[in-house]
Amino acid sequence: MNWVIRRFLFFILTLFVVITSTFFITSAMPGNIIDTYVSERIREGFSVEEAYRMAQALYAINMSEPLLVRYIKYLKNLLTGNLGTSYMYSGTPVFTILIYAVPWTVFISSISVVISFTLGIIQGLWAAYSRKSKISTLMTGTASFLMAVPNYVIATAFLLVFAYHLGIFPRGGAYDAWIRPGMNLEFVASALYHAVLPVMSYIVATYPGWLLLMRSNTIRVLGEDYVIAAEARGLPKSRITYTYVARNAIIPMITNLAISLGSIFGGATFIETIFTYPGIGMFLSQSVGAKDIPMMQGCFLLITVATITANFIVDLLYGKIDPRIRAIR
Amino acid sequence: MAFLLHFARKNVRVCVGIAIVLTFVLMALIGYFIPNIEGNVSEAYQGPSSRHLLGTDYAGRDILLQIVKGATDVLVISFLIALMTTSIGVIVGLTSGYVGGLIDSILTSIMNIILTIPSMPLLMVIASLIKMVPNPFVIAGILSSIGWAGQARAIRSQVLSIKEEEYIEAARILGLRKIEILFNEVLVALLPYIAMNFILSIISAIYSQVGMYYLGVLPFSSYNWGMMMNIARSHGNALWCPSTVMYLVGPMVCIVLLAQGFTMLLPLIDLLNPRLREE
Amino acid sequence: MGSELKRRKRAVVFAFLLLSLAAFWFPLRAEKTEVVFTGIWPYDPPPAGHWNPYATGYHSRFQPLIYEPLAYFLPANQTWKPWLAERWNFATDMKSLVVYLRRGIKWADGTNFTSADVIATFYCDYVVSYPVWRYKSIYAPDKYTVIFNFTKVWKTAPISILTHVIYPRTLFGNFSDRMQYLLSINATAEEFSKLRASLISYRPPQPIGTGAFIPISITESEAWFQKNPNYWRGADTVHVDKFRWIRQTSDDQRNAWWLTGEIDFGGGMVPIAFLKDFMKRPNITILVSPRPAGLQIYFNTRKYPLSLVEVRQAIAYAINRTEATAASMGTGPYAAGKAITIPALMFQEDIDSERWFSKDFVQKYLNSYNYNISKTVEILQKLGFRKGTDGIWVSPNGTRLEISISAPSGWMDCCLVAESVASQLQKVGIAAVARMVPNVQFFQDEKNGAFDMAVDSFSYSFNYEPATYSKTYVDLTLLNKGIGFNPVVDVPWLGKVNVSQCVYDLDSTVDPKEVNKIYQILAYVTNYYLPTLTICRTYTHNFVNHARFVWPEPGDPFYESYNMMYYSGVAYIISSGNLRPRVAVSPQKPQLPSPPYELYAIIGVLAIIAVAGWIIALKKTTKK
Repeated sequence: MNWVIRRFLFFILTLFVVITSTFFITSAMPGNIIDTYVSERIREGFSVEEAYRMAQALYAINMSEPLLVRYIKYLKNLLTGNLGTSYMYSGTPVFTILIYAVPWTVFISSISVVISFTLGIIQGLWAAYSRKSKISTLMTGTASFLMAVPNYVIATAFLLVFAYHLGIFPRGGAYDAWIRPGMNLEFVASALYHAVLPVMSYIVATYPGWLLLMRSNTIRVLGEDYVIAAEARGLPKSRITYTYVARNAIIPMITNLAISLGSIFGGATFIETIFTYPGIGMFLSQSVGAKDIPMMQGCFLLITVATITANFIVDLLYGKIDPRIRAIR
Repeated sequence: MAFLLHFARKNVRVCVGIAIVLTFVLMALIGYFIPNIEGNVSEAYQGPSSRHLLGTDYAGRDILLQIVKGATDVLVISFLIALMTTSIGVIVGLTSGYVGGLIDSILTSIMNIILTIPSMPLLMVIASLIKMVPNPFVIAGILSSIGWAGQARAIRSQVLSIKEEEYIEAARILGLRKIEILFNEVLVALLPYIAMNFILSIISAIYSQVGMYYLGVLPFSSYNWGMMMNIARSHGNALWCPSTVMYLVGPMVCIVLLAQGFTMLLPLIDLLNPRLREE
Repeated sequence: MGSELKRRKRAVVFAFLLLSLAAFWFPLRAEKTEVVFTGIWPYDPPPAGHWNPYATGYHSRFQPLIYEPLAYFLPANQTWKPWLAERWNFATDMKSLVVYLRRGIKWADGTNFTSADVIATFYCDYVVSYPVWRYKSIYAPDKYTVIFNFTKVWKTAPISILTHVIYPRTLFGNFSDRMQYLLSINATAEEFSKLRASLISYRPPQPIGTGAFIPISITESEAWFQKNPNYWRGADTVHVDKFRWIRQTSDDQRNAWWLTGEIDFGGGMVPIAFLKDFMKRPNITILVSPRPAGLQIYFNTRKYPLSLVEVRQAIAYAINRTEATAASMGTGPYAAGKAITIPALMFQEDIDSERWFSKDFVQKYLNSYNYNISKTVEILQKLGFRKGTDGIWVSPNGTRLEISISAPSGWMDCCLVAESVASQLQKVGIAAVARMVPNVQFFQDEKNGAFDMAVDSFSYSFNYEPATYSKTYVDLTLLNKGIGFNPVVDVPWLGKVNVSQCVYDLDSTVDPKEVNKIYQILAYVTNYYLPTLTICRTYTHNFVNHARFVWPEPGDPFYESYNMMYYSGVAYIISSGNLRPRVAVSPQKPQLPSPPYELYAIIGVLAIIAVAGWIIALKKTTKK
């Protein structure tokens, strides 16, 4: 119990430190959104004065307050759930944008991470088990190939082959344009249909990592004495594989899974740009590029809280999963 | 000699892997000595031909030459990054997992903090402070200072499991010092995992160093593989034009081969763990 | 993990696949008999995108389809096309403008278009720009006349006022009324701030415009518009029933759409490599429109040895502008940019047409800095520079000639120009490196003078007189540390002149002869003192697809309008009835993209191996 309380205190401390660091780092970034806006208008052909006039009219940002005052205000607003108003979309609260984009991100990313993890560990397990066989070599080779290919190439490949050439799946979007969003079968079916390609490319882009790590882990576990002992005892192969090898090999991967689940909230920009899928990834990268401070802080807050919470839960559950650790605690 | 041949015949894959890695080392050495590549801008974005095996880039320079020339920087920096990240990660992970207690809690919190602090803004702030520093050690240092946390966490959880193995307990009872146990037993058992992580780090380091160019820490280089792929994709539209596709695929194939080469070397690591040695 | 769990898992996956296949069978075609125009361009989907023009995130891309200006201006031949306004009267003292509105125009909600709408629009401008306001007064003596009075001479007033889009009183009347009220009682600054904040956060659910289209639905992948049945020019003059706007999220996705042949109009900065393949397709005509913009390189004249005019000139001789432009913009008739012959922030067309000064002046006073390395060597040697042992020039007081050329990393064309210039300077013995910097940081560095040479855009502005020089001589010289240029310079025919003051004077000078004199000064100073070196003029590529529509002939002034870049030209063509569908529109079979098949085949095969491997793995591990 003592240990749980200590962990919880560290959890709160970590959360506080990261939120504070994020605030100061994002404020310390060079540049400001007005100069960027002005320069983009100049590039299109507006004169300097016109561009500045447009910027002044559009952006009502007050930067004169000292940093510490803004920090205190930010913390106070956080406690009431006010994430501020975006600069890029003046007058639109950050919360509104996130509320719309986050569910789509979580929908795609959570499905992808779960399937990718499952695919990776099952194949990794088996690849390690039969690592002398040809098919295992083939799968490991495939995995290291796909791992080295950039994710946008994979996503574009899926888009072109399945959406354009074969025409099986839609070319983009989260649902068909003429369907009203809501809890009806049409909408859900359309959403699932549009989710197939993004999920598939996400999986193909990420599962190799899981496969290779799991394979290495399993190789280690296969060398353990208790595995040899179990084999000597004549236990059925499947029992050994699951109860002895798989369980022990997966345990360390759960930490990696926790980190992945936390980064779900960061969105996958390559999916969103290539498949025109709504999500925070695009907002996040836009806001970093334009130095839209409230938007950045809102998105990073989500990622931060999700990751740290996921890690915290994993730490707590570790004892449950691995009985040996429980004994010590 | 006979032993080597016997070894080669038994482990074809490992030998192929060694050959691939040696090829890249050679490429890096040759690349260091290639002088500035000239190009005729009227020959820009030509497809593969007899004069230019992989075609030309936006300024008419030969792509194959650029790949070879860029190999040095790419491989050296990636290797450094992977080395730094993995060693820091291993050291911190081992310590945190094995020692436990308050130190574990503190180190884990530090790992969590570094994991969750937004890296892009942090890198932008660091880059705006240090301006242009083309020293590969500094670059590797900047990128590793953020990247080690994920590895450390993973290794820590591994160590937590291994720590309670019987042979560790046996070693402890036998009176072996903690350090000895750490190195001889725990680390050795972790080697396959660390090796795999190292390879993954190299590949991701190749892609992440491109960020250093966009942030202004490194001067613009048209030889960096990642940079070539980015320019190919945006300026050269390589995903769509047959004539410029090699600009994207050339560096990509190199990265893929590098990954394959290293992966094929993995069985060598298994040799170091007495439990896994077979035959 | 027993086999029971395995079976359950497999069942879930199977069900998922079934469900997604089931979605197949839902009908999804639009009406085949309607004429649909398809375009693709980025926009922000709701809730980020909205219908309030006074806040960022406004659907400004869609605006040309829904809202209309008082008049269209075609810069190509400097002509006006009256639209919501019938005619106007610009006073000779350039201090007032009277606009006579067209009668009989109705808003999409049925109300009449009157001068009250114009008043509402301009006063809402005031709400957000307060306290800056160029108008002494704006009032409407009757329902179809508006009188604008300015505080001082405003030469470009017709451009600014007549091309202004008009918004309805129905949506914005409240805000303009309150603004007029606050002005009349001399309210506090805080009241104005509150009004401004409330205007910025206003979110009208639907726009109400006079234009040819009405939005039906806007999602994050597509936006659909239908023809306005009450369009004032007559619904039957508009030959397009529905407008389908695909949202562009990345260049890759856009290219894929373009290559299918379903897009009727496209544009933007298209990479030259793509153009070469794309323009071979039938039915596609590529239009190259000159943009009123280009690329230039700023010098930091504060930093030695760039502080010496001769050194800057020597560098200008060492840069082959044609090559730098070609590296970034491509070559041939469809290049995205053309190198400038005479670097003075002037376009060649205006120099050739003797718009502001004669050819004699050009010959006598302007230098074209043709690529000439020996001149560079000559100038540097005359200054006392010597080449060191490593081949790099060293100044008389021992400083090596080391330069870093900055470029914004988000604009790849600038970066490639920087790289080309750097390698050219290296050949001459100047240690130059190109450096990319994130856009936000680049513009801040530019203002703070934290650069040696910086590649940036310049605008020739949409007004019919370029305000090109204000960024160089006002923004980056007077208002910020910027390039650190001393604005008081020697002009051979005038003696000492304050060039920043000249830029200010441009605003209030009315006599064309005086205006020409100022432009002569500005051109000369830019050309001789080289605070900035003009590199090239940029062009955009648009293409029209003749498969489904009959477009105006090439060379038609519609095409030269800068507006073509943003679909406002398309809106104009459709609204003016100049776009007709091709008779016998047979549904075209989509021409599919032809990407590197082999690469995708390899990836596809490997993905299949992955899934097969999973199935085999599942089988094997559950077998025993």
